[in-house]
Amino acid sequence: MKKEIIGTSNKVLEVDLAARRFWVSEIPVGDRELYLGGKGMGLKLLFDRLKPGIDPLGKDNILVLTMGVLMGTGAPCSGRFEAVTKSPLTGIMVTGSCGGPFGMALKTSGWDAMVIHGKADEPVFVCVDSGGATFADAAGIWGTGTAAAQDTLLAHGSGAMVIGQAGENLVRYANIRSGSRFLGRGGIGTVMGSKNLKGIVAKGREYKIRPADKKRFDRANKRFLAHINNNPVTAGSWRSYGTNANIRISNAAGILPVRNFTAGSHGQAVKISGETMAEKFDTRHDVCKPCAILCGHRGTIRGEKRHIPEYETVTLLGSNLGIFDPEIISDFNELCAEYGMDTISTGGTIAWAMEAAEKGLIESDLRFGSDEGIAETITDIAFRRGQGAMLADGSRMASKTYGGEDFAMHVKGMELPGYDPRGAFGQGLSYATANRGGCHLSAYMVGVEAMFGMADPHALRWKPYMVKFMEDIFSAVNSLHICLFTAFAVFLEPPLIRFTPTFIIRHLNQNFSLLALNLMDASLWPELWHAVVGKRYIPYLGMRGFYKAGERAHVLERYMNIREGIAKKDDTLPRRLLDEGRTCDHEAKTVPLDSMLKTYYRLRGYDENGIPREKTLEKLGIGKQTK
Amino acid sequence: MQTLEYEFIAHPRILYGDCSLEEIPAELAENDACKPLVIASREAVRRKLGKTLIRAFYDSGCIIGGIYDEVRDYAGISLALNAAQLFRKRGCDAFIALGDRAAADIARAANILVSHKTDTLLPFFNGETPSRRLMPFIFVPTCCTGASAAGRTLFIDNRRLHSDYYFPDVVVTDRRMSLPCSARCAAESAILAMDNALWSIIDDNQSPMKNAFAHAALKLIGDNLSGFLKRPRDGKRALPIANAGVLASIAAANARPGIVRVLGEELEKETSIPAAVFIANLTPAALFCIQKNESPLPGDLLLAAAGMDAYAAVPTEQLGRRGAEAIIEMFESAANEIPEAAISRIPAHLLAEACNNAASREMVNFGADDAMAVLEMARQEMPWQTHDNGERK
Amino acid sequence: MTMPAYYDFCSRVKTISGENAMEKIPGLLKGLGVRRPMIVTDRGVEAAGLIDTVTEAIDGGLDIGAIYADIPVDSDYRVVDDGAAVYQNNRCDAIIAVGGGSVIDTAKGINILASLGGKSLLGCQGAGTIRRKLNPLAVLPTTSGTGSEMTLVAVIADTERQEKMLFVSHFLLPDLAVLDPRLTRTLPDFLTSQTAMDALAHACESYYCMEKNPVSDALALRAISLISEHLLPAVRNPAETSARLALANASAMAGAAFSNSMVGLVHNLGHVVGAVCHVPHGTCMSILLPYGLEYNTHRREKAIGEILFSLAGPEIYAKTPEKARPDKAVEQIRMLNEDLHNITGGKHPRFLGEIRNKDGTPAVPRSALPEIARKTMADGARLPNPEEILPEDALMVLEHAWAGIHLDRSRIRKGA
Ligand code: SF4
Ligand SMILES: [Fe+2]
Repeated sequence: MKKEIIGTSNKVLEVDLAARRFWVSEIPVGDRELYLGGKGMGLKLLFDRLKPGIDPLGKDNILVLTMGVLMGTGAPCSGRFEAVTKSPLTGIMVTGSCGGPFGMALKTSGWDAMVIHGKADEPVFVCVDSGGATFADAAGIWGTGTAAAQDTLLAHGSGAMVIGQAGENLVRYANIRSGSRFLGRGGIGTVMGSKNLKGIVAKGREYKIRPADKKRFDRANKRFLAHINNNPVTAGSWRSYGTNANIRISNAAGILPVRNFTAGSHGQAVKISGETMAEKFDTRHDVCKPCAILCGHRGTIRGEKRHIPEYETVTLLGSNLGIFDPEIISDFNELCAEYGMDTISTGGTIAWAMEAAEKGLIESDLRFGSDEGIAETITDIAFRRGQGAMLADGSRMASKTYGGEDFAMHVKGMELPGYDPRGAFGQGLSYATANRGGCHLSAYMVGVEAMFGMADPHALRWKPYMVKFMEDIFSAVNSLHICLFTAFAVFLEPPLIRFTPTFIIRHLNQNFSLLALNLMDASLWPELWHAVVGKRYIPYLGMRGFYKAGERAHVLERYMNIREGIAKKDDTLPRRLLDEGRTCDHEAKTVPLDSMLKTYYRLRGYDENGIPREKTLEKLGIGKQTK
Repeated sequence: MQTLEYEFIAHPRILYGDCSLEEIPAELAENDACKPLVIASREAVRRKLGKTLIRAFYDSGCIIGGIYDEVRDYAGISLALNAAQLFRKRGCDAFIALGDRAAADIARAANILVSHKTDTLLPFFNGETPSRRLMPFIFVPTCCTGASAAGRTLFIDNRRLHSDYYFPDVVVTDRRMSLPCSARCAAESAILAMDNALWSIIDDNQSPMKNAFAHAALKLIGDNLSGFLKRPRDGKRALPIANAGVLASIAAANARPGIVRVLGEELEKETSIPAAVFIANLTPAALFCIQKNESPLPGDLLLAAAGMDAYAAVPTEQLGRRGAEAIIEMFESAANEIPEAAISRIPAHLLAEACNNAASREMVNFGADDAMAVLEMARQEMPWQTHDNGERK
Repeated sequence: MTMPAYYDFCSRVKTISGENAMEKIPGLLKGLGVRRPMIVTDRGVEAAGLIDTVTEAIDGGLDIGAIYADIPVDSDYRVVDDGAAVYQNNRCDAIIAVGGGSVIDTAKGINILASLGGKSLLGCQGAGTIRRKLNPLAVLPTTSGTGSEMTLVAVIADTERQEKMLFVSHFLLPDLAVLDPRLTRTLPDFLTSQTAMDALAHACESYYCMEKNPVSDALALRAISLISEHLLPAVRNPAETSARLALANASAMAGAAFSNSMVGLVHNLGHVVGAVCHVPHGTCMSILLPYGLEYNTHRREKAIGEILFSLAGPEIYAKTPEKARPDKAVEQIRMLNEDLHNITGGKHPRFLGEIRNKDGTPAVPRSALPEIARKTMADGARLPNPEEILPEDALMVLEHAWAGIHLDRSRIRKGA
């Protein structure tokens, strides 16, 4: 009979790589209430430990891994863990969510979080079980790709996370692999590389996780599952085609990035759509565990079983480079996976290089529309060879040296994902305000604006409200921690929304946004949370409390970024999005960021320079030592 | 005793005053040009300065070939290519840059592209020098001009190219154009001009011609600064300050770049905080560092900043210190309009990187540790900041 | 400083100064696209061995296409035409002018003709002929006075029509001015003194004339201090390279200053005295300069007072009460002339009556003064002077200058 954890263990495994020792700390009860888990908890743990102003690639940086309370309970789409650290790509906080098996293994070894300090003198990997951590020499696997490294590590446990050569070579957007899922963005893998940490493996399956209130949990869970299985997105297009279901929609809405964001749609886009790929590659599900939406797919590409590139990969390594052949895109995807490198930043940086080469800023044969040299460039980046060394620092740094800042498509140093905000202004605002930089998952306004047609993409009114609202929710969802994609089901399925015609919702959103947002029924999420942690010590959170926890995590992250020098000057978009209209858009619209930003700051309780006001922090209880 | 080993050039013809805008057609004619392309910053066009410029052409045989007004704060090759294309399409034969530094740089770059009949600056990035026969280039600074806009540097896509041919042929300072847009802009212009003049004088190359330009600039600022800061849009004060900016950038084009400016630019690169903020805040520290190292500051500073009578009243051995004090006072009065650069809030590794980058810039004569010393000093309480109860601002 | 409501300034000459400045010529000329320069000079300079010094310094770096040394003292347009033919025949692409004012003006003329093409400079007259960059011109001045290396004019005589052709264009500003003490090494002491006084006159006049501006002011003040500090040492000891280099610098800066702010009474009278009595320009300048200051003091009291600062240094400036500064400045200049007179063994004259021709006769007979005074009306330097000058005023000043006495201020007619 396995040992049981009721709700949460609240135990943190802290590891010092330099001294090769570990110790255990507790998550304070108050923090659990305020920050839930996952992202929120990760930020709080980091906040309590990280000195501001340190070099993200230095020994003082800290990597925090956290799980949410739902992990291990069997709740749908709860198989996700969170990593939080200071990003070498952006110089500010980065949070990442991943559906690989490492999270489950760590949690079922009895840990709610793991904190990695210091830098090992020699390459190591860390083995975790319920007794703590041991350190093993990684010289033998240093220099291997992610697949081989993971295989080696899995001899020691049921879930691992590893870096590839990109992380070792400090490519600033190296990622971490767990299973066939990645902690993609912001160079979290680079931080591991800088610590000489090739990977972590957790034994897992040592504990069973039980919700505190089983009945309540089952009831909520059932409703949740039903929503997911009813929703045409979660149970329909995404289940069938994955995130690539968006390609067609984006192309039609003019938000598909083409040739480094110079166009918003392309005649050949259908070739890379989810529908085409599903047919062509005979796709099967390949997903996070547990999951009910089942967005991940694998298929037969060039005679091999390969993971189907996600939407962001297809756009950034495909359409945005002028490439519309899914097999070629898959080749790039496989390379990035092997080296352990973020496909979005890789693609974004290569797109910059193509345009820079075209305009005579750098010498290179890379050209839009041609796949020639791209694979070599990806490899050069991973090994920091030749021009790859410069591209390995990302488009921001490359453009600071070689110019082309006006077309370096990043925010705060993080390359933009595959949605052009000139076709969805709310997304523009959200790119500018997303804590980790150019990130679509901070508020996913394109969903509201372009996918479901629930708000006019070019209207400005209420967009700041919606962005704030979505940011809070997403932040809370990531703190539960559960897959963001469940939001489609949770939001769209409750009866009020489901049976109201879209045009009315759109009207409501546009004109009575506050009302509309408040009518949204997200009560399922807090319900699940409570069912797991029980009434042990926490008063009922409710929907509002849930939102507020999200807001708290969001503002805490902002506050931590402020300490790293972030201010209004950084809440901006690439000049291309602010200045250049596109030919596909006869009105040549650009994102009117300034006016939205002002309102957004007010709503957030920031001052006009984007700094959270004293009062705001106080209200949210940020900065107080919680016991 | 100054050594007179130097090279100096002040290429631009300087036009200053109320009706100088109307001189432009004549200047063009003198250069055998009659159809200029105007490269304007969006801000200048928004403030209807483009219209004013067109009006100045009414009584002349010249026509304006086009106004390219896509320029914002960043000078990149993309804009230059577009401008060059427009230039060719309209059959223009001269450039007028209207606006800030970016407009001037786009004009410079487009000028190379059209004069060399090419579509790339790559050879020039790789060291090729531009030809002597570029198209005539007239620069009408508006506001927020930034340091060295009238100088010999082409700053495009974060690269600095230097050549005497990058000087504008004519720089026009006109009351209708060159008034600051805000108090902050006014303070920044004054700060940048002072910085250029200051470090031109401190520069170890003691060219008397360069010093004359720097001196003229500093004197204009010294005479007009306090009134200017009180009423930034009063032409009587603002125009001489704008003119000082032009003169100072010519002086600076003939001197090594000063430590504060270089450091400010590198810090801007790291933090996206405008260089002027750092320059405003770091200059006192830098001057203090120089004095601490017992390197004498030239007496010229006092002479330029405070005038002959003040200078003559100070004993020789105190000239350097009193000069520094006078300069610092000027900087501090202007810095009131500029936010404090919280050096302590900038991550240490970024500071170190900025210092290293600064020290490895072309033509600089300081090391990374000198730069770091300035930052350290700026972090500390400066002795002269304590005079009003230690409270700054 | 009162800022003028309008001013313009242009002095786009690249200046290289230093004891090895000439060695930089090849590099800089190549930067201008030059391969085969022609050297333009006169026999005097050549005889002094300066051309050898120059060619040695630029040896190897450039292929010298021709050396044209046939510039007579009274050069005219035919010399220019000749020179341009030599230039074209030797497929030269730039000019290096080595010499004083006359050589430099002729070289500018040759450059016009050679760059624009044509057989004779006569065909290049008229406003607006020069509308594009000419071929590169480097100027190596061998006297430190005229400042022609910094001016945008070329005066070429048309002996047949007894006229002077005046060419004015920014394109006439040389590309390069080379200030190297080796170039002035052979200059006799009395010429050093007179040419330097010419430069001093340029600087002082530019500081009080109508079109003064902040830039010309700053240049002028620096030129004045350099001259007051280095003139006596340079005259006493021609081996003082640094002093001679300083004078060359002063001359160039004064040239840049006056060519942008114009000159007044001193040059107005000086030009005519020179033309009528064939007195060297520098001599006229040394003698007339104090009168220029005296004549204009009531209009430019502050500015002329400030000249004292550069002329005598901050201590004397501080000790002299503000009201007395202009007179003190005048006194300083007279003292300087006196000292130069003594050092050169009397070859540096102090007043007009003292100037002698080679044969010992007075060069400026008192009887010539009325004619001179009349002719001043036609000279261009009359207008920029702060106080109006009519012939009777000119005569009055000339009489004082002839006798070498202080100007009687009560006789200045103070116009409105
Ligand atoms: S929906 Fe997709 S991303 Fe989310 S948990 Fe399921 S498989 Fe993973
Ligand atoms: Fe003269």
